[in-house]
Amino acid sequence: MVLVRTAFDTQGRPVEVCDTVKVAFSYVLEYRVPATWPARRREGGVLNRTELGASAAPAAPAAPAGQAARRRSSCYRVSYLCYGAYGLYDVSMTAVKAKVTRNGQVSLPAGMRHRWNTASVLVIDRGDYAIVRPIPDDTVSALQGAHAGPGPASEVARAADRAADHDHELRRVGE
Amino acid sequence: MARRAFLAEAEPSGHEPGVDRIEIANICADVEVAARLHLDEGARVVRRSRRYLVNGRPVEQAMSCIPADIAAGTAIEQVNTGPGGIYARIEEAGHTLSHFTEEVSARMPTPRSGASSTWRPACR
Repeated sequence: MVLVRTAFDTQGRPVEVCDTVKVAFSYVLEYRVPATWPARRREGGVLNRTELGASAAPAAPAAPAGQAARRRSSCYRVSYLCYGAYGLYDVSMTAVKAKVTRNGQVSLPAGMRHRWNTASVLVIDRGDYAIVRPIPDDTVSALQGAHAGPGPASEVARAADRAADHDHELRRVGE
Repeated sequence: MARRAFLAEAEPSGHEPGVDRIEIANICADVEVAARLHLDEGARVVRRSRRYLVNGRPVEQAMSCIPADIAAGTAIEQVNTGPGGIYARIEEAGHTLSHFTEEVSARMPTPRSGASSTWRPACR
């Protein structure tokens, strides 16, 4: 996960930029509710926490030392519970090694098959990795309510897709 | 993430946090950093980089850049930035913090980062 944070002072001047690369099976990003989707989009379609409504959050109960840290803590909190509480959040993050047979068949773990309860999967080739997603037997019913509630504006979603495609293309050509 | 916040959140989860490779340098801002800090390319910035570990394994790498006109001559240029960290020092320099933006994205490790050989999730 890549996180680029910019801190601004009251005059609107950026006073720090921090580029962070994190690695873990999963991260839990905590936001306060109600969250609102952004009215504007950032270049490249990348959303930030402020735009996601996190800045309207009440103060966090446990704040790090220092006034600035307290103020920052009132906006958001990143939890590292994923390090230890692997079992709590890892249902969708489990990685399983599977062999590919001579004719290209791959066996999915039984637990996964039972949970998905589907006879077919969609294999999405992302260049240097692939995504395997279950295809529900009744696709239409499965989509009901899938996008209920507020979501990103279409232009935001399109920008995010374009950014993802751009990143994918860069990876593909090895830049 | 600030060092203290990292330690405070990693320890309760039963893992041993650590920070190493703390490096501080006064450098010229590259294009991206200059753009984010609203500086001219090549303007001086203080760069602080560090690596976070859990159970001895690297899990996070961070690099902060602060305009040199704010950071030069302050504890920001020291390994130990004192109570409140660099944000407290920035405020002491007269820049009261107002808000933060964070851009979150995900990608596979790059070959340049050497991720395949050194970066692993801390525990299974």
